[in-house]
Amino acid sequence: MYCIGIDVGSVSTDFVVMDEDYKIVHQIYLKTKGNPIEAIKEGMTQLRRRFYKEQIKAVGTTGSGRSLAAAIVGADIVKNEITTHGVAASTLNPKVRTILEIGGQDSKIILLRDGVISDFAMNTVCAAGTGSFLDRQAERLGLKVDELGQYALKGKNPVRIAGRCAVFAESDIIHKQQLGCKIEDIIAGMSEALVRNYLSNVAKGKELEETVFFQGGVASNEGIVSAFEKELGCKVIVPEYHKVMGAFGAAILAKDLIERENKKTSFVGFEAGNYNVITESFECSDCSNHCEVVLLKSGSRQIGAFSDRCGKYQIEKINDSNDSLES
Amino acid sequence: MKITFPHIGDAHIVGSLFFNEIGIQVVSPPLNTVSGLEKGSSIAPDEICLPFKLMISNFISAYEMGADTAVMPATIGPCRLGEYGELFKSILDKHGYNFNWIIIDTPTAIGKKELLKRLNLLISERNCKMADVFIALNKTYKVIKRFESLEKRVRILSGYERSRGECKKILKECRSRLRNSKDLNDALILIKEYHHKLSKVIIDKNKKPIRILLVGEIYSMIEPFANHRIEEMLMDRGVSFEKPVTLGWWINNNITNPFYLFLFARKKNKYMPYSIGGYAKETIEEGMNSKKNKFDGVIQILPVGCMPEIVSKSVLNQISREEQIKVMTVIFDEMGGEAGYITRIEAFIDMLGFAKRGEKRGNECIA
Repeated sequence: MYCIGIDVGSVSTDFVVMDEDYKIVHQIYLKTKGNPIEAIKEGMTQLRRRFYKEQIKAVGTTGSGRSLAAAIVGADIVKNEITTHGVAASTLNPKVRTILEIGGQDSKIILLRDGVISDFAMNTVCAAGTGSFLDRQAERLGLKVDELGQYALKGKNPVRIAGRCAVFAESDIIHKQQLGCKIEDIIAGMSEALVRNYLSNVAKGKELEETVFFQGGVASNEGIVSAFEKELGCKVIVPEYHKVMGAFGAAILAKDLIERENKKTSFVGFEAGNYNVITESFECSDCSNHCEVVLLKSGSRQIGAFSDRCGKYQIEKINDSNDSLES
Repeated sequence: MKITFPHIGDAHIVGSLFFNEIGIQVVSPPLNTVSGLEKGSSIAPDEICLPFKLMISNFISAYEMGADTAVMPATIGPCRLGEYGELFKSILDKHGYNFNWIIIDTPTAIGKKELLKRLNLLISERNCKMADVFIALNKTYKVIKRFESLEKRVRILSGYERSRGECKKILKECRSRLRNSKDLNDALILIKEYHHKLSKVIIDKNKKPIRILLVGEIYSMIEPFANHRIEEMLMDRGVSFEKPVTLGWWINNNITNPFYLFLFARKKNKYMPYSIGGYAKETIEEGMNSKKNKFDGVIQILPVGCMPEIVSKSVLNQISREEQIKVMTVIFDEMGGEAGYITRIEAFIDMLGFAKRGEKRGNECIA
């Protein structure tokens, strides 16, 4: 029997299939490209080639599109990214005490003590220290985002770049380019700026103790990893499945829930990949709340409703663990 | 004369009942919405805090609905909110919304005589006696107190109820019926009925729910739109929580109890010996006592641009380290997306749950 975890993020949508011993047997990493529904369907179609519905014991979703994914595939548990990342890391290595996580849209720090989340923080206002900033700069320099790490490692004399704000950082980069600095040094400087911004913004006042894990899409960037090691003065471990840790955590939590409550999964099957899912959004004017309601439909059948405060558009609650999220 | 006043929580319900009682017509603007906020932001100074933008949008809507007199309660003090009455007047006048302004302030700030004079303006057109006004005021205060005690019970009990959502439903029903109640006496009877209903909810005393204390800026604490309905979010997740700052608390401390401010100013604590305006000192004191009062965690509500709460945020961090209590600050702004707030609050509840139950993987999933 297998468990599926789905992490619908701003940049990527990840799928993990995990066996009974918490081992990842299959993983898919797709770009969301601003269309989470298509990404979820694509993932389901790909999984269908390898697995049967009957083999699936539990499904968990996470990420900013978690309720959407839950409505489409029929999830047993819907969890926030912080809990899933923490659970996934402590399952891989119970000694982990610090998790650095940088995704496309937000960056977080999670502190674990004895395998339990004891503190966390997320970036507050600016996205300067996140993956989308790197994406943008790579595009400006005419490089692929995956190449940035290689370039950064080659930089011998990193230039100083202001990392507080994405706009200032960009003008700093342009200025340094016009001065004729080497592209390697600029990228190395940019990586250091991102790390400095992260440590002084997100990780402010937190005690970072070993063992340190670095998760999320940005962890593939060797330049950032080495900048972190330089600043922290300790080894930073990038787990093998760093890109899909959120999905892994969701799968673990789903498995635990199903086993504890001895329930059957509410997974609808891999046919979800073939559903013609459409959304309908409107401003409800039945009361003074004026909620911007989004209805999710498969054909003419409604499979989900979001953002209605009174709950009148909800179909019968799928199960208890889901209902709170839809409120 | 048609009067109006800005929204703050359920003030429009009791406010309307009060003014109807003394025979003054009230225009209650529609509840806060995103489109209303846009209207407010367009004429408010950009750097001002969220409460200001929301309140100014209420005045605009009310003006369009035919209101001609604006009543604004204020407490002159180092926090900007105290001066908002004057600022509203100046901005709205400039944009052609010409209200007659009645700015009600504390007796300590403007003197009893001036306060009575301003209150007199309210009833100048009507032939009702000052005594009747005071009787109505007293009854209104009673309604506020009784309704808030119902709210308080719901907040605590929602962690203990056997079937999730029952307490919340009772509170919601009571609120919507209160809106349609005839007068203050009717409202008092109604609230009593719902107190009784709440007592009948089946409670599981063996449950050990997470206990959270909500602290922070007064307007965002009371107005559900400004805090993205954080209370309902917590009730849905079976959290038992308390919120010391309410409308009744403010009325008691600023109007009915003259000794409160005097005593409060003399109460020293090691983190903040003086009042720095707003409710920073209150926030800090509540945070300090939260461990003693057996709370598992504290959530601070901070609207962007609130100076006193920014100060208390850093003090709360220190308290968190020294007193070993978990504190999370949620910053609210014009941003409408709720996913970020839900993620943070849910993760905070999960984290407190792990610590409280000593489990590895949050086996009691609250999601």
